[in-house]
Amino acid sequence: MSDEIESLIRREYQAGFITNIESETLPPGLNEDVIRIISGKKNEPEWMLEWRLEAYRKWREMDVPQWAHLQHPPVDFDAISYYSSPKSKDDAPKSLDEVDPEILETFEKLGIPLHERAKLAGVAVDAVFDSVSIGTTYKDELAKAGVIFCSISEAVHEHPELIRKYLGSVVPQQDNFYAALNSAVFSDGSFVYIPKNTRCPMELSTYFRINELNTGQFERTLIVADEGSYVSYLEGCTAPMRDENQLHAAVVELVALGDAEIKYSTVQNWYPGDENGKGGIYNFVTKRGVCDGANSKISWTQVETGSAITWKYPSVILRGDNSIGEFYSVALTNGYQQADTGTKMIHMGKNTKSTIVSKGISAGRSQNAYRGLVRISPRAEGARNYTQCDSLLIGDQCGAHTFPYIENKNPDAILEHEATTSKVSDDQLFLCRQRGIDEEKAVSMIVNGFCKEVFKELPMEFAVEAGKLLEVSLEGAVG
Amino acid sequence: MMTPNELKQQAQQRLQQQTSLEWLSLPAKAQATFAELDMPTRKTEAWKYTPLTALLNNTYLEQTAEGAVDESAAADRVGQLGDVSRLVFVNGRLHPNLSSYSDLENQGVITLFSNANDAQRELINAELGTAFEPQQHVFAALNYGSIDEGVLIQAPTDFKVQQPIQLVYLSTSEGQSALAQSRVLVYGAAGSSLELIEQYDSLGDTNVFHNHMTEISLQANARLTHMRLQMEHESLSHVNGLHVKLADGSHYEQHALAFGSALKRNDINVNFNGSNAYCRLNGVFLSKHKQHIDNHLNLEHGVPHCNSDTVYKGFITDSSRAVFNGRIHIHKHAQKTEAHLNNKNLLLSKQAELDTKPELEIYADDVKCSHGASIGKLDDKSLFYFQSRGIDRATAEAMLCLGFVNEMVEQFPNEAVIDLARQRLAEFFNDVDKLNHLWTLE
Amino acid sequence: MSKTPLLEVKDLVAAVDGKTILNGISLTVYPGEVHAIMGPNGSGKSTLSNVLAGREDYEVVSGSVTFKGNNLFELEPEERAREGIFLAFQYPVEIPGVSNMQFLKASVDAVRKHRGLEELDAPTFMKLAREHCKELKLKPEFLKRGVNEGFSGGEKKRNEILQMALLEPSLALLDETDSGLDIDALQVAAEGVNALRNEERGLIVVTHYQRLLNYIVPDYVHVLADGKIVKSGGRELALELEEKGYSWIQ
Repeated sequence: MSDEIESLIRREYQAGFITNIESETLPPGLNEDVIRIISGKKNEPEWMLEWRLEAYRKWREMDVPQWAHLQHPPVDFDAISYYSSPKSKDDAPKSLDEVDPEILETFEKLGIPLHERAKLAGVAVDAVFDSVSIGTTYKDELAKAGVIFCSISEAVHEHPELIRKYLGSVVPQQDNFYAALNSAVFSDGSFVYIPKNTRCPMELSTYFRINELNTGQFERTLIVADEGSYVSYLEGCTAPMRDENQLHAAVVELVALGDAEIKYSTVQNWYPGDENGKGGIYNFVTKRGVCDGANSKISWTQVETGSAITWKYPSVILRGDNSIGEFYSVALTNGYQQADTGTKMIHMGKNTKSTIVSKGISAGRSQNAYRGLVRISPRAEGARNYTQCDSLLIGDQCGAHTFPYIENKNPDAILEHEATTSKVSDDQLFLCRQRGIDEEKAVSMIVNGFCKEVFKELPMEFAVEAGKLLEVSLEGAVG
Repeated sequence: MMTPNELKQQAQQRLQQQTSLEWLSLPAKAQATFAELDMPTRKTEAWKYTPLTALLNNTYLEQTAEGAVDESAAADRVGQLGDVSRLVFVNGRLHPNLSSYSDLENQGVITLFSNANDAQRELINAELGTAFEPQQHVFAALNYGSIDEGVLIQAPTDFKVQQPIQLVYLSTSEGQSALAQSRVLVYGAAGSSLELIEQYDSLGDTNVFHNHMTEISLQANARLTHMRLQMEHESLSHVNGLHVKLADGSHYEQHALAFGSALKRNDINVNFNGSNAYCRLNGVFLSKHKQHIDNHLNLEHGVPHCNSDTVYKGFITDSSRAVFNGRIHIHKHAQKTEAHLNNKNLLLSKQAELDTKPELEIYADDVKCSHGASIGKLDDKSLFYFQSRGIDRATAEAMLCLGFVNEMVEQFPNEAVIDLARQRLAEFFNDVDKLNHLWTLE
Repeated sequence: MSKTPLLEVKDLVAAVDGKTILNGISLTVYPGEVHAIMGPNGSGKSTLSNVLAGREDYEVVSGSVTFKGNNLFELEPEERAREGIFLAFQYPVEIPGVSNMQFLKASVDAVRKHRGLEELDAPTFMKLAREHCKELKLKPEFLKRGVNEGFSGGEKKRNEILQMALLEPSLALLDETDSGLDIDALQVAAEGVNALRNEERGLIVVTHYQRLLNYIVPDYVHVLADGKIVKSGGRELALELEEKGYSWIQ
């Protein structure tokens, strides 16, 4: 399978994508014509174009959100090209062998070189390279089970009834500034539909890779789990090192109908910028799921180690009675990274339950904030929330922050929130070193232990990857 | 209903009145600040959960409240704390007949701004308005922009003030809706110690907006025990700023009991300016009917080796609304800080709402910080324990509510204050016959 | 000995969260008798006490319980307490802010009122409470503290015995009163219980270990396994169990 996906990526990359790029280049800036061109290139039906234009008009009226604990120069939305356009042909690697050796080295360190990634047994992969879906493995097996797993562009043509029904149903076009922008210009992404009473026969995975320069990346993912179905979905992201900041504004929508369960796991390792804070991805992502039917469940697990800026709040609207929302997060920041991330749990149905476990690790000169909202509506009898936010600081130049908002309108609800802050203690370090473990390894062991509660929620292959990722990301944080 | 802008214009007129304390430098500064500020709206983060409806629906700011009062009724209300030095303010104005503080006045511990000597004027000019950031609070600017009187409480170096000082702010029903303002500056010189009781109270319905500021500056190793009872009638609106500066080794302890009202908002800022200082903030707030109560606590740990402990409990029922916001801010060099904050709430009605927002903002690594918040109903296990001992459910519920509140009240470091608080709590709980006797069983 | 049973449990089946824990228990206790119920962890010992005291989480599926000839299940927990059922909890809950004295007074007042007795005035009550404290080797300050708040394991158990002494129940259920106690604390608690033994009062002692029964000597011993009484006998059964272990029964 690894050979299959690798050759797939290679082939598309060489034969299709690169050669066509020059003719697809659009000048920077955004207006209705640009949207018409994007839609036209994808040969979209009229309703899709109208939906994009509507989003664009709303976006123009909106302001950039300022409330997050983040500092960065304003993004110049007129300087971004909204359709893939490399700086020059020479700059783009012609095969994976030509990818910047530092990137490959990073993967080697992770123990998951690109050609091995696809080895994950029993995982169907949709590879998205520079926002264009390259191809999907295991399509036939999935089709037998009635599962639809394809790129969202394909779904617009093949399954318009599902797209029209669910696209924007969880994250409306005007939900927030970045979601509106995404709705106007989204390039590609994955679409998943699990039919009634079906357990998806394998893990589904999308592997996102940003490669090109000066291009905004706007994926859109939509997962619909029909009544009584189950799916586990994995998302991995990496990007090469560029001196310029790149904008990534994705939208993920999850719909779980009655008795359905969606488990969504992310290992995000977008390029965080160099040791001086130069470059890196601006990651402004809207992820939200709705537990629409009774007894449904949505679980978000994320390990975030990348991006220069992270602005991301995977949320669950608990509309169905007895529905369950979970958020397990590890966010590690190092260097000059800034993260403002957390979740929203909106309890609307009776006996809805949510669990939030957030582990933030700050190192270097980074700033790491948890921001969360738990809201209990008057009719959410018996609602329960438990929130635990722990921060670990490594070094005295970084910051760790916790901003929970807890709003309760139901006397029958029980909510608990706890947050702690600590550092890697000298005693812990000394014990490790006395036993012959060097300091860097010791810190990484301690950090791994700190994150254990979240890692155990990840599918096995990802848990291993996540642990190694932390180790790599922490390099240079000690001493 | 006025717009926030109209409210601001009304307030502006209060500022234009001449102050008789021409030596004070703060009013001019505060007036300039006020002019630049907007009235908060729901989009202002610090006022997200605080509607200004009560202020916009009344014409409080059209006139300043008068200081007349039924003296015998007032005397009953203010005279329950026994042996104290007492200053009583009626609608923000000192009422000499109800007050008795001549001993401490003669010792120079208590001084009205209007009686301040040169040294005291200098102290007031140097200290007043420094502990807060007026740009963040339009009502503080309004208060400081229109100072016509104030109280300076000054504990001299190494002086232990034996008698507690009781400040009573009484709001009355006399006249139409009006504004009452007051302010206190407490200066604890090095090594001094002081016990201060602030009692906010009223005689019946009161159509007053009370805008109050307390500023506290504790020098090295000074100690202040500060009790605050906000027990006014629910018709009142009250915005209160408490700003504390702590120098090396100083010790500040606050115990608060507060009932909700049309609008009640408490902002507390504590600034750690010297190391080894300690701050305890204990509080319990209760709201019922359609009351509103807001608590905003902010602990600025700016230096190393300081500790703070904060515990606030909320009791919310009927159609009332309560807000808690507690922020611990550890600055970059404030290593070896230990700061903990906890907010526990009982929400008992379907029409009520509680919003809580504890915050940690931490820029130093060698610190121990935590916060916790919980919202819940009465504990089933505890109720069963009561029932299994023959106590009926209604009584069990009432006792658990009282116990929830009493856990904070019994920590007040003054027996007379505890008694007063319990008496008023019994009235609040409206269950005097059944439960009042329980307080006496200790 | 009177011929009217104090408590009569017949074919009791009870469940927690839909899971059957008691699977047909029958047990009769006459006034003056001490019954020990022993069993391994998970056998349903605590469930039986909780069902008798009326805990809501425990669902009675079938069977009957009569107490002094009346259907126990028609009574609210507080009514059972007033009628004379006392449960000494295995894990007494902590209630900060409510002083032990307030709690005891409210409880004794409620029970006395039900029995047609005068409420005790505060000084009389306090005197009585202090006397009992002394017997149980509890300091008087103990009464001022929040109910069980910060009490050691031994103090919590003695506080239960103190309440039992004040409420003078006709049937006391001791739920693992020995758990978590060292030998000295165990003796004090047992002496407290023994002082309350009389011709009228029934006692059900639930325990995992034989040890407690050296101090509170039972008339009958029942062994519970998987929600059923699998063996009944006299005092000697407990000793035999200790020697052979619960596996002997199963």
